Amino acid sequence: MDVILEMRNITKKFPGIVANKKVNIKVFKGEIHGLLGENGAGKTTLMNILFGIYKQDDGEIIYKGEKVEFRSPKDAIKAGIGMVHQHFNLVETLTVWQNVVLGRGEFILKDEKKKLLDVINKYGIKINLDARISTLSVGEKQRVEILKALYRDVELLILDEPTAILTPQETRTLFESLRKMVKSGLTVIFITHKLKEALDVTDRITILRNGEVVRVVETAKTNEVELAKMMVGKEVVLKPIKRQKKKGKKVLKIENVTALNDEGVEALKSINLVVNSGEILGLAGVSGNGQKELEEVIVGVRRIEKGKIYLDDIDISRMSIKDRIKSGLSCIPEDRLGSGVASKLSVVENLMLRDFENYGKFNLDFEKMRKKAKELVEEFDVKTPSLDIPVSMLSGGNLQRLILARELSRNPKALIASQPTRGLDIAGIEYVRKKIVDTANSGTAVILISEDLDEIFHMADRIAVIYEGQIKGVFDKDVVTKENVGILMAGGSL
Amino acid sequence: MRIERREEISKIVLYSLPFLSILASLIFVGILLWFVGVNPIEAYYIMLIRTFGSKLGLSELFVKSTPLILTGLAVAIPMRAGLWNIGAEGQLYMGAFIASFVALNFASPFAIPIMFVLAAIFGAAWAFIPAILKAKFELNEIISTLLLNYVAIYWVEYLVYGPMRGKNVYNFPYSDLFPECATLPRFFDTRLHLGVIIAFLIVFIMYLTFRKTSFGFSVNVVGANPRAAEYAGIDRKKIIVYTMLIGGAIAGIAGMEEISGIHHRLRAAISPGYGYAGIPISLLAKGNILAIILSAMLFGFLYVGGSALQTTYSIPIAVVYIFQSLVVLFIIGGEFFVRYRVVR
Repeated sequence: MDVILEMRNITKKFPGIVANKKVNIKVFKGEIHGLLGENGAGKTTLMNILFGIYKQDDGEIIYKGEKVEFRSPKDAIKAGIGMVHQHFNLVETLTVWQNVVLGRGEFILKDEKKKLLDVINKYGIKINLDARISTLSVGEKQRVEILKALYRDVELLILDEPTAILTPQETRTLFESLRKMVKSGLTVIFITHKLKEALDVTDRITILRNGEVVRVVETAKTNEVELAKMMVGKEVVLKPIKRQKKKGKKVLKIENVTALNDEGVEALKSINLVVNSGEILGLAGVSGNGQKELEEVIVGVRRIEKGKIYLDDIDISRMSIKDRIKSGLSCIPEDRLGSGVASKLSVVENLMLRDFENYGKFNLDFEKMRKKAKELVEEFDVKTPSLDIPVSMLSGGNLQRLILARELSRNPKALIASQPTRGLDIAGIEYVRKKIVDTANSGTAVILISEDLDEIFHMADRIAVIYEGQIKGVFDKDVVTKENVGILMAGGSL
Repeated sequence: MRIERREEISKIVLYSLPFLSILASLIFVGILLWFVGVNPIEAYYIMLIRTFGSKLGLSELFVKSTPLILTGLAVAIPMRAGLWNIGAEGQLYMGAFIASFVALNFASPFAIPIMFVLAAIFGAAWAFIPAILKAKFELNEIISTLLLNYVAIYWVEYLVYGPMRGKNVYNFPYSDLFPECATLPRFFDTRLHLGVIIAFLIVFIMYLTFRKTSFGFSVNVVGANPRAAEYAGIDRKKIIVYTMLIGGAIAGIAGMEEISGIHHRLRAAISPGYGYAGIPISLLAKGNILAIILSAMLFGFLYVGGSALQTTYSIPIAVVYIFQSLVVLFIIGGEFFVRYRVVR
């Protein structure tokens, strides 16, 4: 087979870390090449170098037999390389085809639309060219992004964690069209940290760990256990979770709650949910269907239009945030850096974010705060060189441990955990899941909001599905299948 | 050559930045001075010797720095909560106005403390308007504080041309001189007045407030990440209002000290833009309360040394202002290098 791309001895250093260490990668024409690794393994950095966003400190890139040096994404696109990022760059008010031809700087529109149809037919992409972006689902928007790349005569397409935002069904559709694309001669680099997907869709896989290539394997000749071992560097088995099942009393009751989103549109429509003590209620849904607003409404940072929220039979829906916290509500927010910590402040300060007032009004007892912080850091195994560095220096996993330490050490009556393991490595995921389950075992009522169905089925006792701000059903875990939950998540009915 | 984002903020660049910025502006102003026919080395020498070389120079340095310390605080404290108080100038004028009103109408042994308290209240009240608009309606405080400056400045101008114009001022737009009981005592046969000491005292109190109290802690959290503060149960709106009130009160006191310590009467243009100078002073100090003293003294030095240049070489005061602006510009421009770096 022909080699379309070769990156040789790529090294890229950032202050304090080596993101890529003498990385070699070879991609054959017409294959789907997986780039597998945990967060921070250097996958995205490597692709950003290829796409001209970063420049390598050392090493060279051979593309189609020639040594190349892209100074910006523009150069890369010109050479036939496209990249679809996790975040979309689409104009919501324009239609699909307008978005695709946008920014070409050429105005031969009639021909353009014909060319677009050719591309669509060639790769079998299902999309309505005249639909407005704002009316599309996330999966469809991603297809537009891919179309944008293909339309620019891309020969090598890079997809950065493309399934993070998709339902299981949408993921399947994406995989099917990827296979069609490579059949018609396209080459795809597929960045992921999900083993199953790497096994499902790729032809060969390069495994990265700590910025270095561990190995290159043919997908057909490997398996999940082997991949996980190479990715993490040690044997891993996701341990089954021990749950102590006992029927508790109602702790958190959400009654007919209606709320608006930032645009003033109803994001929650008469939500009813009950969580008992010692129970984990999993809330499944594709992101953007009201999960964020539900978290905010319970915490108290978003106004409730209608309805009530009870914590232990006390109406908290009109209480200040502070009083809610005092009544025993804890939250692991979805947006860790945005809502969970003040990243410029130190580890101590962030651990004390909610409790500092207990350490004096006019003469804060910093000694005592430090002592408590030190205990928490040790108990929750937060790896930090010092208590005084800003938390922006911590890794994602340690940041989440810090938030867990702050929120769980209060022995909350109710806990909202929103996407608690998103972006964490396997060790981090295990730790966070274990801590949340421990908390539930000790009697806390837990709402687990997650886009990861595996996670919900792994941890929850009951599962609620949210779609367009409405609860589409609540089930005992044992009586419902992933497929059925997936259908409800996508707006279907059973 | 290309520009790349730094993954980590460089400590060395961060702390050496103010000094490098000042050095760079010295070089640029040097070129400028050289163009208007002045030897820059000699000029800088004269600025230094006239400021630090005599009792008069030193006392003037402190006199000029005092209102700058206070307006610097008036900007820095709201800035710690993430707010831009562009209104220190107006708050200063409102403080000056009420203090004059007391001085001229209620002369008594208690005039000074009453003037202090009322000036603080009026300055705070002037800051309360944009604060409450921000807290309740998210109205941009930059615009509201800025616009209220003009109201305050022209209010005082109106007063000295009208109702408060003195009887013995030969039609100048001044009020009468204050009675002695309403003027701040001076020391060492210079213009060094009691207000200088009070300004330093206020810095110290604010330093403790932000270092030691739970209120100070909350302000730091709101400034660092308002959303995380909200999630943690800190009432962001309260913090907005309180920090603006403190800032306004301190600016009001600056106005009182200027008229009671220096001018001894109300007149138009009591401040050559001290309130606005508070913004770069606070930026230069990076919101650090104690560092405000240093950065205000730097600006004070530019004022004093600048007038020395004016009298020696009869160069226009504009050059001094250009000097000040360049320092600010270099610092803000230099911030770029904290976050980005140039790579080959």
